[in-house]
This record gives sequence, structure tokens and C-alpha cells, in this order.
Amino acid sequence: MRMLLKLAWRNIWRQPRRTLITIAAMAIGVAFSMAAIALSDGLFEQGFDTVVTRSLGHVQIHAPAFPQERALYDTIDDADSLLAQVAALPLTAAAAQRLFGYVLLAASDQAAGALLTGVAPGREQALTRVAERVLRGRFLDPQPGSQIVLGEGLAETLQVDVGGEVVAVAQAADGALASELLRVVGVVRTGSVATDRAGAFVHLAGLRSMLGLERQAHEIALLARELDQIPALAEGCRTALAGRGLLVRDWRQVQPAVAQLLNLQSVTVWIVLFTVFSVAALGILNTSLMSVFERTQELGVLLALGLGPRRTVALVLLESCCLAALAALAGGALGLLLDWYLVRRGIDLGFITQGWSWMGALFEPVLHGSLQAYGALATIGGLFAVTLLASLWPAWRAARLQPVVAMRQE
Amino acid sequence: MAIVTTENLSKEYQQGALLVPALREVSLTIEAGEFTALMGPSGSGKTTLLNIIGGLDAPTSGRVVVDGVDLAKVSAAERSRLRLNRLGFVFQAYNLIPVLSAYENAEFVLLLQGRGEAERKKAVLEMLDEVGLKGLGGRRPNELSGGQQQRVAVARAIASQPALVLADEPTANLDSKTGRELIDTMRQLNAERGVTFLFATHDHKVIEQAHRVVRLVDGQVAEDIKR
Ligand SMILES: Nc1ncnc2c1ncn2[C@@H]1O[C@H](COP(=O)(O)OP(=O)(O)O)[C@@H](O)[C@H]1O
Ligand SMILES: [Mg+2]
Repeated sequence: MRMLLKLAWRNIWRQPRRTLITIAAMAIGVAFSMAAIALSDGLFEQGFDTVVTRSLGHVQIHAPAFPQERALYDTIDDADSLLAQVAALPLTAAAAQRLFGYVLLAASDQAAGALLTGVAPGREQALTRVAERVLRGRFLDPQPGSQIVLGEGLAETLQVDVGGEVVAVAQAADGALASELLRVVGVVRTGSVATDRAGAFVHLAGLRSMLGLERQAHEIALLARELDQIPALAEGCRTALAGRGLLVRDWRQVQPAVAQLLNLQSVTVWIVLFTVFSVAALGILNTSLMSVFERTQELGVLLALGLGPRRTVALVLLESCCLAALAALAGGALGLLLDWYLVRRGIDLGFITQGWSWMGALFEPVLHGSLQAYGALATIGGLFAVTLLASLWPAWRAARLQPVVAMRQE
Repeated sequence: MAIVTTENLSKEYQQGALLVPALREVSLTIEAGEFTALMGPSGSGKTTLLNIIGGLDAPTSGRVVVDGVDLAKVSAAERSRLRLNRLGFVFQAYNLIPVLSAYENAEFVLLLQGRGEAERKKAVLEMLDEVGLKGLGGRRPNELSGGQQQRVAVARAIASQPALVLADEPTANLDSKTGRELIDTMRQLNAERGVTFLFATHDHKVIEQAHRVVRLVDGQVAEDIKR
């Protein structure tokens, strides 16, 4: 075996140029695949963080009918104590409650319907990025007050801006009309079309008294400490809230479409890898076949001497594996370099866009890679698998040579 | 003791629509210790006979027994093992593996046989010495003359102490003086170590060195002279 390895190693250097070109092509494939995996993982993480963690939350709790109806009456009762209960669960990293209400907002000249979200600013900021999405002015102050933060489009419709005032008119749960004068403290762009066009944020306490729902909320959202604990957190909430008749769902159940799209991400990577490795396989096949054909007579002599078919196959496979090993080294090093750049610097698309929104969330214009060991391992493992696969046929041909015929060939 | 026995060995090659007879009813026995020259004009069937005896080609009819093994009755893998362990080969050209040194080439068969390091080293150095290549073991084939390359092939063929060495025109690509020196060396190995040689040649002067000459004409044994 050691002799075969020595023979294989020396054989590949009989055609140094061809060997180097093949290795270079394979190495570039490896580096490119590693970068593609890192970038895709980075996008996945970014996407997950933006769309799931920092907007949906990992787990949501509602009244059973709320997701379908979104009716004012489908509330979680005694929400403050329930929130305290689930916030205290060991797996919970953050928790916040929200109350929604459709109101008519009137400014001096214009009026428009709007969906108000009543939040506790401190808790909300631990969960979502809405406070970071303020375009002008600031987010709601921690202390309750008659403040409102308007979606960008809504502010335009109402023709008000920071410092202005709007009157909110709502029909309370008991059917009575309630109204409140609110000061505009900020304008946000969340990336969610609906929120930006017709949404606004107010203090939870204020909305509660307007709607006459003093102890209620429509939604409780939670974050888990670790992503792999999300199902456990959901389970924990179900146990804690058993008998309350509430709906506890993780983000996959809340937004199946997001889950599907995020899964699609990995499919894209596999397509890229498949393409890269198909090209690599052709290169290896070509090199391996050529080297077998060139050495027909020599292989004939080896077979005549008694190098059995199995060892002949091993020799050809070892030659390809030597190429793959060198390509793995060079490509791995280059790939790590690319990965490092993608993680550290990322790809800044700032010259094209200031950020984009997807699935109702706003993305940064810089794409970052995420470096994980499996990226390099999968790529290099794939390289060797493809190498062995592609040189199987040439190896088989070499082993099948008839020594007499092979040696006669000029 | 007979190392090779052939009985009514015939071989026909299909050439287009034509059946070309290469060997006709060749019956031959090679005894241990013999130094036999296989002579005959080009196309007389020398290579064909050597290949069949070496288990590299199969006869159309007839029987070959090599070292007690009927070649037709064993698998290709067993024939391969027989070649590896019991036979030595010297071909006309392309004998050596170009990426291996003379030493490594001579060692090759021993490695395939799985011999230990010390045994290999002893055998290889001894054989290189015997064929007159002492101190040249580190050279690659392309750094050796044609005669030296064939000597490496001879060293490789005998290093594993085979029952029989088959050499197909080992001197064909050498000038006549170098060729004769190679045959001399083989003859010496035969005399001193008892290595059995069966070699093809068309150099008539070799007759003086061989103690048996089998002459093939048109695939038939025309003459079998023992001295
Ligand atoms: N593979 C083959 N196909 C067809 N004819 C062959 C083949 N090998 C040898 N022959 C024919 O068989 C005869 C004997 O050839 P060969 O054994 O090579 O003779 P020698 O070695 O004495 O020159 C020749 O007529 C040759 O043309
Ligand atoms: Mg011949």
C-alpha cells in the first residue's frame, strides 16, 4: 500500500502542468463551495434573526380564534400575570405582550384608519427591532404617556410628522366610542408593508384604557435562549398555561411560509454544490482517463508482473486521491480565507440598496457569511466522494486491461 | 523436474475474416535449470508461446502446465498470483516503471509479494550487484542506458527467486555487443544460481551460449537441439 501510494504520488507529477491545472480547478471549486455555504448560512442566520427572532418571536400565544379572526374580543385574559408566568420559565430569554386595535386617526387635515399596536416599550425592545427602525424622532418612552409612533406611510397619509398631534378614535369593547389625543414622537419603517402603511405603536396602558381591555392582551411573544430549545419552550408554555384554553405555537406554525422559504435556502446551496462538483468530477474523469490511456503499456507490464486487478484499481484511485488531497489543502486554505472575509467584512450591497424587506422584515445591506466546521467538512468530504466516483471507471478500465494487448500497443 | 509442459498447443488469431495460425501443435517440456533459447524468424510465434506459458494469453487448444498448475483450470486471479510468485518476466521494452529508481523497480515484485524490508533489501542489492549495476540503484530508468535498463529488468525478474524467467527478445532494442553481454549475464545467473530461463531471440550468435535451442517456424517446432 505504501508502495502504491508512492507510485501514485510520483505518477501524478509526470504531467505537472495537467496535475496543477486539475488541482487548481478542484481547489477553486472547494473554495467557492465553502464560500457559498458560509454565505448561505450567513443569509439563513440573518434571515432567521431578522424575520423570525426579531419580528415574529420564537413562540407566540394567542386566544385560539385570534389568528384567524383578529377580532378585538379574542383576547388573552389576565395577560399581565400570564406574561410574568411564561417570562419566568427557564428557557425564556425575553417575553412581551401586545394589544391590537383598529382606530381612526385624525390629524389636522387628514384622517385614516390605522392598526395600533399597544406595547410596553422596554419589553418590546428586548424582542423586536421596531425601536431600531425609527426613521425620525424616537420610539415610545419607557414611561406610559400619550405618545404614538407612526408607520412611514401612515405619517405621509396623515401629513403629520414628529412633534405633530393626532386624535385616535376607537370603538371600545363595550361598544362605546373613546378618543385620545396623541403626540407623534417618531416615524418608523419596519419593512412590513402593512405596518408601514397603516400601523402605529402606542403604549400598552393607553390602548388598554381606550379599548376598555384593562387586563387583556391579544398576543404574547417569546424568545428562547437557544434556537434548538424553541420546541421545548413552546412545550413549557403549553404546560404552564394548561387549562387556560390558549393557543401556543412556535414560529413554524405561525408562519409556515417563512419556514419553507428558509428551508429552500439550503436547497440552493445543494444546487450550487452539485454544479461545482459535477464540473470537478468531469475534470477528474478526464485527467484520470488520460493518465490511464497514456500508460497502457506500463499498466500492461504491471499487470503482467502480477499487480492484481484490485491493486490496479487502488493505484488509479490513489492517484486521483492525491490530486483531491492537494486540492483540499489549497482549496480549504483559500476557502477559509474567503469565509473569514465574508464573516468579518461581508459583501456590502450598499451601493445598490440601502437594505430590503423580505417577509415583512427589513434587512441590512451587508451580507455576512457564517463560518461553521461542517461547511469545510462537507465540501472536502464531497470532493473525495466525487473524486472516487469519477475515477472508478478509469480504474476499472485499467484493471480490465489484458496485459498482452496493453503491451502490444504502440 | 519439468517446470513447463505444453501439449499440442495451438493458437489461432482472428484477423478480420482470416484465421491466422500462430502456434500449431507445440509440445515442449522445459526442465528446471535449463537455459533455453527460443529462436525463429519474426512472426514465427515466439511471443505467442511465451505469453501462453506466462498465463498472459490463452491457447486455442492444447494444454499448458506451469510449475504443476494447469493454466486452463485456474482463475485469472490465480494466474496473476502464479505470475507474481513463480514467474519472472523480462519484456522487449517498457519493462521498467519510469517513476521508480532501479532499486525500486527491482524491489517492486518483492513488495507485491509482501516480503519484509530486510529480505527485500538484501535480495535487491544482491541482484543489482549480480547484473553489474552495483551503485546504480538510485538512478531512474531514463538515467540508464538501454542495456542497463534491461539488466534492471533481469534483476527484478530473478530477485523473487522464480521457478522460471520468461524473456521475450530482451536484447531486441540493444546493439549486438550489449545484447550478448546481457545474455552472458543471464547465462551466468543460470549457471551459478540455477535460474531457469526461457528466452526468445533472433540473434543466431546466441546459440553458442544456450544449451538448448528451440527453433520455431510458422508456429511449429522445427528443431529442438540440446547440448
Ligand atoms: N493479437 C494478434 N492478432 C492477430 N494476429 C496476431 C496477434 N498476435 C500475433 N499474431 C500473429 O501470430 C503470429 C505469431 O506472432 P508472434 O507470436 O508475435 O511471433 P514472433 O514473436 O515470433 O515474432 C504472427 O503471424 C502474428 O501476425
Ligand atoms: Mg515477438
